[in-house]
Amino acid sequence: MDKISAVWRKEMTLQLVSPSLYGIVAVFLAVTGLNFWKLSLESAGAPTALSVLLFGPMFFWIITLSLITALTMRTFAEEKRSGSLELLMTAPLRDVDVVAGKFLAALTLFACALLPVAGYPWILKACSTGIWTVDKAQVVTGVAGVFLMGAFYTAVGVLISALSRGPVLAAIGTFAALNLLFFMDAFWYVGPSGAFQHAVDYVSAIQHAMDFSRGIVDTRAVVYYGSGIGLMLFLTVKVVEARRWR
Amino acid sequence: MIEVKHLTRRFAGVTAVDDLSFSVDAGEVTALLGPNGAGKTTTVRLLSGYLQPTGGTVTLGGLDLDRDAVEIRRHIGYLPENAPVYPELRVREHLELMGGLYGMSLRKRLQRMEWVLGACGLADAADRIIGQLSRGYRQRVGLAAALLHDPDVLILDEPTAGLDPNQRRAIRDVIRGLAGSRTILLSTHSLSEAENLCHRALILHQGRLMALDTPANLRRRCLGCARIVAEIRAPIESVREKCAALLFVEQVEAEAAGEWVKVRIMSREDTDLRPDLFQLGVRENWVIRELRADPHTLEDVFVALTREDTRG
Repeated sequence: MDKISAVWRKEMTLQLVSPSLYGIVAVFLAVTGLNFWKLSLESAGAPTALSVLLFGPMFFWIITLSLITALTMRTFAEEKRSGSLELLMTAPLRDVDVVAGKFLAALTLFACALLPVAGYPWILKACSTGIWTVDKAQVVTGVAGVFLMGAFYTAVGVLISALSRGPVLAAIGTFAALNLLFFMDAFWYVGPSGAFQHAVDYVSAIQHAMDFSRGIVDTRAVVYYGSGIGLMLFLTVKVVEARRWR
Repeated sequence: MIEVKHLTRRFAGVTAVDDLSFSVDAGEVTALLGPNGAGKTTTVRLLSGYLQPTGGTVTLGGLDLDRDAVEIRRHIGYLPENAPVYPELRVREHLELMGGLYGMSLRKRLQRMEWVLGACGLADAADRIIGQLSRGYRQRVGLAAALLHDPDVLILDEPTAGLDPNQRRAIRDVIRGLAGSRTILLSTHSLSEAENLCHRALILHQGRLMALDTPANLRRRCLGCARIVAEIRAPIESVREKCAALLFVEQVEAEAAGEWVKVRIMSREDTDLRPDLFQLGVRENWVIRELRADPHTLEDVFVALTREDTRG
């Protein structure tokens, strides 16, 4: 545990001194905030679900995928490029510690960026004249769902970074892979019906996200993301181990 | 302290390190000498645990490098080639984080930090951003990080490569100060550096161990012959002929450069031919404007060693 937290601390320090982190988080908050504001104005007077205001627009998802890409692309690829991975891999750490520390650091930053989004409904409430209450449970499950999905995508990003030669390649690969996973729905129409469509439904993130944001906690989705994180991190450890043999 | 047995490493079809066996005693400074591509970096990476060997074992103070991988790395201070560091960080921050990765307590880190900064001549740069430091300083930061956790064994991959003479001397001073209290293995392609710093040198060629001895012995063993260079104003034919007639001469190369003849003479035994050549010049009434011993370069040692190798 000490070892993982030492790697985590190192990762957090390096991320927090990088100006690009602040840039991408600022863009993330600006895009999600403006969307929420605009949708709130448009739907004034009409009853609208909070989830639609928060997570409905496609912009929200695209910027989320970009944020995760930016947070994970450097994890392994940058250290490989600069050679500092050699320092990390000759320190008295197991490969698992290195992978876990890097994953948790990226996830921590993602959580920090996501947290203010949960506060949007209360800001809206403070600004509006009508008397209404925010459905806390709905906001919490919605944000928790996005966080769970983000955790899986972060694990995918860390794996692709470990496979890539440099951060730019890692970014391209991760963004492509995350879009593929997220917009899996598109294949629903092209494939055969039956098992294939079931599989697409299961993997496709949009459906999960919509469920979560309505306050529905579907255990199938939780299992999917949980095991996905496990698998991605396991593969990352194997990729990192394989470097010692190449 | 370090025991290497039949260490072998193959990369897709290429054997970078081939059946390497040697041992290093505690407190000894050993140089790993070789030209580029001799397998120095691969050897160093195997010893540091960065790469897994294809075959063979490495033990370090009784611990096995493969079986006790995590434990053993606590005892090794490693400076990789080109001294990678985190350029975004300040020197102190970098050292602090590296100490954390080695499981040092905060108190221990702060204690060792001051000593390491002083020992590596970084006291005045401790709060500067590494990316803005010169190469020599960056190399010292790498060395400081390798020393921070007080390792018994230091493995340094080309610690002075790419530095100017002043910076090189500074790094060598640090290493010399550590000799005796720590076992040091450093790779280099400079014979003078090995002679300067090390008790023993290990010569690698195409991944194989060519020789392991004190630098002085190596020189003597590989280079029984001495070589002198002279520039003489005289007809080239007579220079070539008269020089070849001197005692102990093995080979004479003469080339004309204007009215001067540049001559290179190899002697058989370890004899100094300069007095003989001077007297020859006086007898023949030659004008000599240069007469010097040509020190053997590492390249000569290699040529000598590889020649020995093909002969027998």
